[in-house]
Amino acid sequence: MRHTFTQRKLDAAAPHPWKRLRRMDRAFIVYGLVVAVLVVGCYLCSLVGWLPYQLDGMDLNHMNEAPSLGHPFGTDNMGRDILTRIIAGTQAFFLPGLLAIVIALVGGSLAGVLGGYYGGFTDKLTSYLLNVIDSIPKFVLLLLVIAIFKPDIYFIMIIVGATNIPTVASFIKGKILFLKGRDFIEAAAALGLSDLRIIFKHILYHHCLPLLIIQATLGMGEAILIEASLSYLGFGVQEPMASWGNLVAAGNNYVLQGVFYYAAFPALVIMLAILGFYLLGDGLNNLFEEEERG
Amino acid sequence: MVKPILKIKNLSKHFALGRGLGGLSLGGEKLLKAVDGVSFEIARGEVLGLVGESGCGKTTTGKMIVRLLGPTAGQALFEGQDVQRIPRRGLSEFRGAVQMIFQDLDAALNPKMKVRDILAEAVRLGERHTKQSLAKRLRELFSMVNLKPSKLENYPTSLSGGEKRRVSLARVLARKPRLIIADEPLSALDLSIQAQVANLLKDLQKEYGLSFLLISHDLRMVELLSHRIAVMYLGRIVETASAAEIVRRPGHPYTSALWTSTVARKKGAKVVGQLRGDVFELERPDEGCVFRSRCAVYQKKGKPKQCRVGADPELRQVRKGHSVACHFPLGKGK
Repeated sequence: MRHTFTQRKLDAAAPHPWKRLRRMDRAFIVYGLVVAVLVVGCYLCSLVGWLPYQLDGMDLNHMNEAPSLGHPFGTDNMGRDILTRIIAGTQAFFLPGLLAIVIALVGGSLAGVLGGYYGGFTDKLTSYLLNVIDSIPKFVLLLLVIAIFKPDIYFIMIIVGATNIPTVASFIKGKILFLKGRDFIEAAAALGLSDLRIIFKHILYHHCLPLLIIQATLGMGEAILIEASLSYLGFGVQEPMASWGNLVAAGNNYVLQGVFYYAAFPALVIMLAILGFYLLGDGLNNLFEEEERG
Repeated sequence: MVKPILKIKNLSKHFALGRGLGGLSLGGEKLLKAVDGVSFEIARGEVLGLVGESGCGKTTTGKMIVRLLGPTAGQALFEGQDVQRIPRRGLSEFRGAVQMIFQDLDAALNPKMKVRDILAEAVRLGERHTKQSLAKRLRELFSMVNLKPSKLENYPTSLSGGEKRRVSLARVLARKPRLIIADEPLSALDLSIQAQVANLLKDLQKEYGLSFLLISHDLRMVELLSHRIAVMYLGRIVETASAAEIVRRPGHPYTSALWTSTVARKKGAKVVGQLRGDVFELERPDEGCVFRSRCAVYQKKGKPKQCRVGADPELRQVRKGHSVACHFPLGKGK
C-alpha cells in the first residue's frame, strides 16, 4: 500500500492538478477569470475616461430608448447610455472593495497568527474579540452605521472588511494548528529561524497564500453585492455618480411602463459578476486542494 | 575531567490533565509527569542513547534541551549555560549549536519549497554567501549525506523516506551543530535504509566529533551507535551504563525485559520477565517503585514492602559507570 503510494508520487508523469480538476471547476475558473478581467478592464477604462459616451451626456432626444447598435443596453430616463454607466459603475465598488479585502486579509491574518501561532492568553483574547464581531449580523450593523454616520462607500467597506476578519482568521488559525500538528513549525523554530520569518515565509506565504487568494475573490464578490444592495436601497453611492445598484433602482421606476432593459441589464451584470467571483473562488479552492494532494 | 557539553539536572515536565471549566483549575487537577527528575550528562564527542517505550518522555526531554518546551523544574545546561536563560541575542547561536532531528520525516521539509531552498535557508542563518559559494556549500552538504546533487531541484514530496531523512540531516548539518538531538532518526525507514542511515550517522559523528543524544525505542540501533545508554521508564531514568555493559549485564528488570522483547537479543544475556500492557494504560502509582506493576522481580520476591512504600528508588551505582534505580538490581547478590 505504502509502496504504491510512493510510487505514484515519484511518477514524474503525474498529471498536472489543473488536468485532474473536474471539468465544471475548470469552466468556473475560466469564467471567473473572464469576469475578473472584464471588471478590472472596465474600471481602468472608466478611470482614464475611455467610455463609449460621456458619463453625464444627457440626450433629451433619446430618452428611455430600447437597445440599438448605438446604445447596446439602451438609454435611461435622461438619455444617458446605460452601457457607459455600467462601465463607470465599476468605480463605485472596485477601490472600496479592494479596501475591504485588504482589511479582511491583513486583519484576519494577524488575528489568526496571534491565535494559532502564539496561543495561550493572546488566543483567548483574539477569539473573544472575533466572536464579538462575528455575533453582530452584518447587514444590521451596516444599516446601523449608515443611520448614525451617513458614511460614504469607503467607510461602509471598512466595516464590511472588518466583519470578514473572523472568517479569514479562523481559516488561518486552523491552517497553523494543522501545520503545528505536523511538527513543522517546531522544526523551523529549532533550526533557528525567527518567528517573523516562520510566520511570513513558511506559514503565510507558502501555506496560506491560496487561502488568501480565495478569500480575496470572494471578498470582491461580496463587495459588489453589498455596494449594489445599499445603492439600490439608496444608502450607498448616490446619483449622479453611476453605480450598478442605483441603476437598477432608477430602472425599477420604468418597468411598469414596459422599459424592462433599464433595470434588467444592470441587474444581469450584477448577477453575472458576483457569480463570476464566487465561482472563481470555489474553483480555485478545488484547484488548490488538488495541488495539495500532490 | 573534561566538561560535559550537555548536563541535565533534575529536569521535569509535568502536564496538567483534565482542566476545569474554561481553563480555570478547580482543584484536584491531575498531573501527567511526562519527565520526572531526569539527570544525565553528555561528554564532547559522545553518543548517549536514550531508550524507552513510546510515551515515556524521551521526546519531551529532547524538546526541553533545544528549548522548544520549558521545563517544570530543573535545568538543561549546554556548555555550562542554562538553555532557558540564554538571552535573545544568543539564541540564534544556540539554535545553531544544538540541532534537533525530528521523528517525523516531513517535519523539517516544507512541501512547498525545493530542497535547494530548504537547505539554503538553513545555511544562510549562520553564514554569508555569494551565489557561487552557496551552490558549492549545498553540494558539499549533499555529499556529506551521500545524496546526488540533482536531488537539490526536487520538491520533498518526490523524495523517498531515506532521501528525506538525508535532506533533514543535511539541513541540521548546515548549521554546524556541536550537539544533535536525534529523535527516532531511523523510525519510518525500511530496514535496508535504516542500516545506511545508521552508518551515515556513525561516520558523521566520528568525522566531525559530534555529540549526539540518540532518542529511540530501537535497542539494536541504539546499541550499535551509542557509547552510553540511558533507559527511561515513565519519565524517569532507571538505568545508565556503557552500551556494552548494559547489553551484557542489564541491572534493572525493565531493561532486561526490554532486551527480551527484541527479536535478536544477545546470547547469554539474562532474561527476566516479559513486558505486558501498554504504557499509556498504566496507572502511575503514587507511592513506591513506578515499575512494580509490570516487574517480574517484584512478583518473584513476593511483593516486598520496599517496592510499595516510599519514593521511587533513586539511581544508585552498582558498578563503576553503571547505575540502576532498583531496590533489587539484577546480577547482584547471587
